[in-house]
Amino acid sequence: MEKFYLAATSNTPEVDFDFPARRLLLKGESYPESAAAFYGDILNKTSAFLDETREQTIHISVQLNYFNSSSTKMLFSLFDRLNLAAEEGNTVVLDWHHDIDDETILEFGLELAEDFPAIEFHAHAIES
Amino acid sequence: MLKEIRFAGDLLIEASAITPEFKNEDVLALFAQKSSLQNLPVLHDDGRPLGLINRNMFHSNMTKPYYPELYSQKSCIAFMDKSPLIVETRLEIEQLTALAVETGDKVFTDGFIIVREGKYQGIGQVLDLMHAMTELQARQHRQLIESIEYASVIQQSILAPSRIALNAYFPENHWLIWEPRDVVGGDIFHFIPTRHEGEEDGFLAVLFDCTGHGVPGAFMTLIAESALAQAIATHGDRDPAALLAAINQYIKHTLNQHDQAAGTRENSDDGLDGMIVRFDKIQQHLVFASARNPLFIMGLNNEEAIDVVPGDRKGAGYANTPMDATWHNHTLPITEAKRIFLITDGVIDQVGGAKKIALGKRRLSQILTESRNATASAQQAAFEEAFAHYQGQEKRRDDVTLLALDLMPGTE
Repeated sequence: MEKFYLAATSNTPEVDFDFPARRLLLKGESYPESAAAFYGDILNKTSAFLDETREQTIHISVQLNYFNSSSTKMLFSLFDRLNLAAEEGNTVVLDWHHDIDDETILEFGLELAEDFPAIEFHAHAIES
Repeated sequence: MLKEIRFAGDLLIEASAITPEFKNEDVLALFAQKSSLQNLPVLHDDGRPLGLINRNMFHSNMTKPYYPELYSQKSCIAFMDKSPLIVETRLEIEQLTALAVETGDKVFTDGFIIVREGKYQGIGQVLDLMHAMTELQARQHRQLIESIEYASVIQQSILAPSRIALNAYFPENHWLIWEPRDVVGGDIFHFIPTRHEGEEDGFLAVLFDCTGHGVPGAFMTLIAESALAQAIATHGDRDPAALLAAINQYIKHTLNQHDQAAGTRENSDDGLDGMIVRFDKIQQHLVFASARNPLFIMGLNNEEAIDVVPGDRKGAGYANTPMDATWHNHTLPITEAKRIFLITDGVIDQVGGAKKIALGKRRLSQILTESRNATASAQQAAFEEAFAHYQGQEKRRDDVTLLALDLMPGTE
């Protein structure tokens, strides 16, 4: 499966989903006018990738400093799918980056960790 | 004001043209006669354009060694661009712009030929086209803004009764910031005094943050407002959790989220986060239920830390909130004066500060604590200043609403 890459814009994150290397990255801010439209493709491609991935380790790194509530729902869908892949025998490692003073982003990460226990969750406090 | 330019024909500049019978020496003479002449269209006998001679291109050829000798007596089509951009007068300028971009560099120097039913009419210049496009965009933008501003009048009039009721109930003891990011928005508040056996006995205050902002957010606030009215009509005004449950069902029905058969990708996954607060001054307690939004509670006559009570972790409406979802009521005795803050995530999540990170609940509590002994209006001013300072040069990310209400036990 091919890599999937979208450059960051002022209201959408950089999406660097290197499926062959099983490394996924989201970085920047997410508040597109239509989150469903922006994330539709990302979710479909990820789902197709996970359909054919068995007993592998998948790394996902999230470095977002803002996402609106509709993006939040899309991120839940993404992690829901990744959680399923983990339950099916893959190892899914989530590296959740947040500024050391940004408790809002950290709290959201902790919610994900609670809701999706099959995903191996690592919070990384970034000192800046 | 200039005429509205919508079609290629509106950009027409009359320009004389020649035919292939003209020789290059004739062209040389024409260019020499008229120094402003940059381009010379060449037409078939029946008036259809054949090509365009560009002054510079022509001269750069005719000054090559032996070219004048070889070509002076030849037809002018020798150095003619045989594929200039040719457009019909009726072509809309948006499409013309796309064609011009496709044509490439030469269109900037050569312009384009304008025809009516294939027959030559004149030429057009790209600079004029750019002016027209700028005008068109400004006009379209103005229309959009006017439309949204009118929508804002409607949205504001829905909020007006609550503003009046707030001012009557709390002449001095409340403050409110309602700032949609894009003129209209997805945040909406509602306030009504409540009565028991004819006597006013407290109030119901509501703050909803509907999905999205701008126009879609504003659409959602209309649904939310109807949902609330119907929920109050059915369940009364004393049970916030029951109201949220009823609102959840109303939204899911209204947006057909319950219809499995209609469950396509285009189906709505919209809803609202929000807080419903009921203050009962006879029983001296506050009952509130929340879909995701935290309630901030600050003592007015003490220095205790602000209490931040998280909401239940599900929104009302939304595809993955079940139709029979329930919320729970928090009950808080009010035996001393308190100020409560109903807040949408546009406040908490606003990016700013030196690190360009979300304001967050901790920094928000700090801002509110620093002005805790101020009057309501002074605290509002202090908050506005601190929030603007935190936001700095960053853009607003979302609609921003904050409603602060003072609760006085018994006496009010």
